[in-house]
Amino acid sequence: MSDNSDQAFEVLVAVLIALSSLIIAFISWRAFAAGNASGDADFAGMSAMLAAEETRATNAILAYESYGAYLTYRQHRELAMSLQDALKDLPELSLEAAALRAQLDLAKVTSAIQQQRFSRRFVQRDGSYDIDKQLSTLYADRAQQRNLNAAPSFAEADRLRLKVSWLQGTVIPLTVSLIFFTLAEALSRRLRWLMLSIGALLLLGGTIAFLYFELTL
Amino acid sequence: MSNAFKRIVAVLIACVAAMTSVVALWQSNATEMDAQASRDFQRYSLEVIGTGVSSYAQLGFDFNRAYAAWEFFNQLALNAERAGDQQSAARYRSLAERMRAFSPLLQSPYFDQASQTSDLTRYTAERVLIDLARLNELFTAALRVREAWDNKTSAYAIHQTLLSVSLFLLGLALTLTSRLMARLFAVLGVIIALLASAAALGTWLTPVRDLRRVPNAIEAFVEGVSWSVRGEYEKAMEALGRAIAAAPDYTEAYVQRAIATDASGKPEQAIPDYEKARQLGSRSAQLAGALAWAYARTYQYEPALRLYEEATRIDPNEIWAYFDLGLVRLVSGAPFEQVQAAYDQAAALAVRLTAESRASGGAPPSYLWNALDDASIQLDRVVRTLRQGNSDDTVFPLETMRLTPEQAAPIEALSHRLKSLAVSLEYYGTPPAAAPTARFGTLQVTDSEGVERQSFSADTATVWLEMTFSGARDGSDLVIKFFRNGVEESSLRIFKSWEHGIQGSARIEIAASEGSNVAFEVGDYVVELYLDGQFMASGRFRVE
Repeated sequence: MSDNSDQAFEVLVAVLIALSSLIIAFISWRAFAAGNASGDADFAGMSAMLAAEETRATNAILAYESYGAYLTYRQHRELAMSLQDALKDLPELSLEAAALRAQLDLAKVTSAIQQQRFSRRFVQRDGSYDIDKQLSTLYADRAQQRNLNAAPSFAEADRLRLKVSWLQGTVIPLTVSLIFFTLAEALSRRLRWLMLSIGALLLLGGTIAFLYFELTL
Repeated sequence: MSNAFKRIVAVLIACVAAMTSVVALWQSNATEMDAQASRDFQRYSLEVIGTGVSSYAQLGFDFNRAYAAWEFFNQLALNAERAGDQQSAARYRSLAERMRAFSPLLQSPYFDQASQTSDLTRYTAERVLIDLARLNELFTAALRVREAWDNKTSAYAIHQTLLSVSLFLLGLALTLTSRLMARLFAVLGVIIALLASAAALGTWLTPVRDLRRVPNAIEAFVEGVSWSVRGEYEKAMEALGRAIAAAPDYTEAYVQRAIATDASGKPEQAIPDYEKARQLGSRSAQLAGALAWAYARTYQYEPALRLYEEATRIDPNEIWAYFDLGLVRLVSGAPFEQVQAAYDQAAALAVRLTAESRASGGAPPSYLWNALDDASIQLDRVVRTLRQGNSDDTVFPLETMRLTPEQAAPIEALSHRLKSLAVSLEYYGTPPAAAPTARFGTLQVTDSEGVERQSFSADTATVWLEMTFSGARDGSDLVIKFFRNGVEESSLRIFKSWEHGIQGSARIEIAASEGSNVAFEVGDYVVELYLDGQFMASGRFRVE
């Protein structure tokens, strides 16, 4: 009878050890998968970030070049208008008028050339140039073609990393349960049921915790 | 082997196995944190590039387009005023006013209406440097966090290996027939397991310092750096003090506070901060050099010499460290051969680095010429102090130098040699070939009437250089360099052929801006003339 009971106990312990080991292996696989997914999300985030920074840099250069062209256009156009006003007060055939006309031609040609180098779409009613609008528009155009938003990917990577940590945490009670199962086999009859019970509780607790983190994170 | 022994060993194996899995868990966690920190520092480095390019694109527009347009009309107005055409002047002033709308650089708080000048330094600090400094600090902090987690991961790998050895020994104890050996292996296994577990626990308990999580540390640091760039050293020291109060082990904050304190003219008060940064583990050649310079300027030559020697050991390619070592040896009264030896090492290094750069198909870095120029400027100051006594730009007052006026001549010759080396390396990539054949008299700076002048008014647009010479050769390369307040004004640099014959006298017109009447900026100027990379003569003038 006693031998039978010992044998049954040994089988039970062996089954629990096997079960605990299996669950540990399963959790490790899930943690590995989550870690992998976290790495992928980080990569996606970095790609988006690289594209966003490249876009920001390229757009800044393009937009400020346009703004520069607009400024030069305005600079020479206003100079031309000012020279035209000045010419009205001078005798047409005077040397001074001839010099001003030469300056006027230069200013007109320069403003005409620069006029082709910026988009009037960003020139406001009051004559100012809306550089911020141009930068935003260029960014939005690029965002239509490529993912420039790294934040969701990084948030996903952080969530998965947290999941990995918690899943790995649930391995601890399961591993400790293995010690108690071993002790249940090694210790005297009086203590073995206590060891087995503690081991079983740790196994159950660890498994529930795993299911919770797996399903909620 | 008794069953009791076997049971104990079995329990020990289970415990060690459990500990191994716990250490594996910690290692895995450390690896994840390492990955996160790696990602963060990559993010910051990308942001630095993006922010840097965008900010400098804007700064380029502000200064090279908007400010230039404003200057354009103001210059036209000035020309008109000089010609007595007040009506045109008013028209151009009005156009200049309109240009101010194009950039914040030309508006309050960066534009001063009274002096009609823009504070470009403040603008750059606030619009560009603050963002870049913040990102740089975040980048450095993330890098340090990554290093810390990396170290933890490596440590856990060692602990795991030791625990595996322990498991092996315990397993072996179960199989051995000799009771003594079995117990010996078991005890050894337990000892190794205990040591490895204690070490792993120690590693786990060691906190990872993340400066990004210390409230206000980086913010106060960035504010301090920004004030420092703008020359507001008291405010910089106060802000950096706040950064240090928030994070007492913030090495870079000590370094920056020392730099601000030093720049405010209190090198003796900067020394403790530099020393503290070194205590905290910062061992760069730059830091050793900065501390050495602070010691040198408080006339504590022994520690200065020791630190400069340390800087040359830390990074043997830091050319300035040899120059400073030579300078401090000179003013501290070391034998001239030792002084010469340091300068020779620096010169040889400059030649080698130039040759290496050219051999690899690249251009040599400009810091080589700048370092050579700085070294010769320092020597010139020593010579001037020895001959004329202390002046505004004296670094080592006469009473602190262990030198006599008779020693000025060899120091001056050394300075000329460095000047020639700088120009020759820059233009030809090699040191000057032979002793110069041409001889030049003193370089005189004159006005349009040919009258020698020491100083000129702030509206001076043109000066003339007059000299006597012999042994020159037409077609030789003529280089004229201008230094304003000790820094080369490269926009004034002249490089052309010598066309004034073999001997006689020459008069060379120098305009602040060719073909216009834009005036020289206010300051103390030094002019240096070179033929075929050889220093020939120099002159000085002031615009005030």
